[in-house]
Amino acid sequence: MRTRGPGRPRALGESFGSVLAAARTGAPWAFERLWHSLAPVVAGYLRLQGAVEPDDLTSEVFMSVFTGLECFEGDEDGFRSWVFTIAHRRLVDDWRRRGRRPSLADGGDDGGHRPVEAAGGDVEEEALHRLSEERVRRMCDRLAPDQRDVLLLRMVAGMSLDQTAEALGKTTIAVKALQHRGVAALRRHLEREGVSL
Amino acid sequence: MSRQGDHHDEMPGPAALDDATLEAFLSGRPLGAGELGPLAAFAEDVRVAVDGPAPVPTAEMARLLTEGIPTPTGVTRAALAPRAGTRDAAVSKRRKTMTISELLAALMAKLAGLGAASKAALGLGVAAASVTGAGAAGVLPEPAQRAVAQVVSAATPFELEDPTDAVGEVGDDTEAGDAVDDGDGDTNGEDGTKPTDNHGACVSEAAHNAPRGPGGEHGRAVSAVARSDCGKTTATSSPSTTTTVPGSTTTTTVDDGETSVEANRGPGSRGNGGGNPNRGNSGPGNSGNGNTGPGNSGNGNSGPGNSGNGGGHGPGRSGK
Repeated sequence: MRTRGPGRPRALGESFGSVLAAARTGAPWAFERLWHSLAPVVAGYLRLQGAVEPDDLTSEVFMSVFTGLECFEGDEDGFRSWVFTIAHRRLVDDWRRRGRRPSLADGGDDGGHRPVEAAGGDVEEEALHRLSEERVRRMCDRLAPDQRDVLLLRMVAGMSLDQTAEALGKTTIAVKALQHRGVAALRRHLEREGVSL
Repeated sequence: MSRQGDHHDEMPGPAALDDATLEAFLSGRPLGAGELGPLAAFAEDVRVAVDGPAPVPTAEMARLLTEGIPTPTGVTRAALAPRAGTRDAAVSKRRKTMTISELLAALMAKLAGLGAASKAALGLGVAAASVTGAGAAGVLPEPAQRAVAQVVSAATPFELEDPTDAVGEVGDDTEAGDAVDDGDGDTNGEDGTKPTDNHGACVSEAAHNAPRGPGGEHGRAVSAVARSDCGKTTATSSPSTTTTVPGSTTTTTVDDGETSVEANRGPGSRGNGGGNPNRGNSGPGNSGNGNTGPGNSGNGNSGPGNSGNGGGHGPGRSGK
């Protein structure tokens, strides 16, 4: 039985403070710890949002993170929120650069999927992963963009209502309304499809 | 009229979730089966979709993960981190006279690793930054320059020009020649201090203004002025004590019960250097330091105390 919630990053826990301090001095081992803690879920968020090159975009996000650590103050929860705020803004930059926000159904040439090798070469696991990803993308594509942003940041990044509001530049009340309508819309679509996911 | 976030194909559906159930769904807590079953399955799909190994980093990112962040001096910050037994050796190889930008970059990297309390202790900040900038530029009076150089040498792996180094480090790879002879024939004291008078200005003025008649009249006039006490304060001709205060780099000359002009120097006063700011002067008292005191130097915007300026461009604000 899996116990982790949706998209929960691999927390560093008590070691976070020392890892962050070392990362601020430019220590590569600390960068690697932070990368392995958050990069998978950041890449997942970017894939679900339809990023054309999610892996490259993840590297861009972490380049900004690692070179801007002096701007950050806070605990691990705040750090995760900060990283996802950067990720979301990079994503918006990428959409602007490309001139459009892609339909999630498009998925790019390879559907935005990772190659099998990246998942460790386990074909069955990769197939399940692809099926799950396709279902989520299909459902998210039916949501309004603002609703999708709120639901994914809350579910994938584990951000609070306030953190999500700050990341999106909206009020908490607006985000709360968006998540209510987003979940309601999601339920309707799920029922309409009659799919037991 | 549709509300923000409404979607075109929204239709009436199941009753809205209460806040607690909604939070449970969004935060990944179990929802149970029944009516909420599809939502629970969706949450599980989200978890699976984003679960996996780290993505393949770009070449630039891979380099960062293996080498750390390079500093402007070409040394990774990781290499600058204290490691027992290696700092002294590294310092001896890097002994050199720095540019201002190199110094400030090194100091910034150093300061970035300090805790909040240490940063608060550096609230002396702006003044210190001004002095450091001026010290790096080599435009402080020599006692002050020496103090700044010693502080920088102790706190960083770099060195500034130190007037005393020119004597003490013969054979080292420092650029000793830059720091010693200014060609003015001045007879500096053994402590490296110069008389802080305006004698040179006086001689220079005489050279400009003395009549240029036949028979060497001009030369004799200038020579006479040069041999006189012209422009010197009474302090330089009587027993005195010169004290350098590191915090303010104020040079105070104590004179047998009589406070000289220099005793009024302090941060913020004008013309602290005692030099003659007139152009073309070359005497030892005219080294152009007239505006280099800590309170009035033009370097106030270049030190670490102003590092907050860069915050506006933090990565979290891209695209805004």
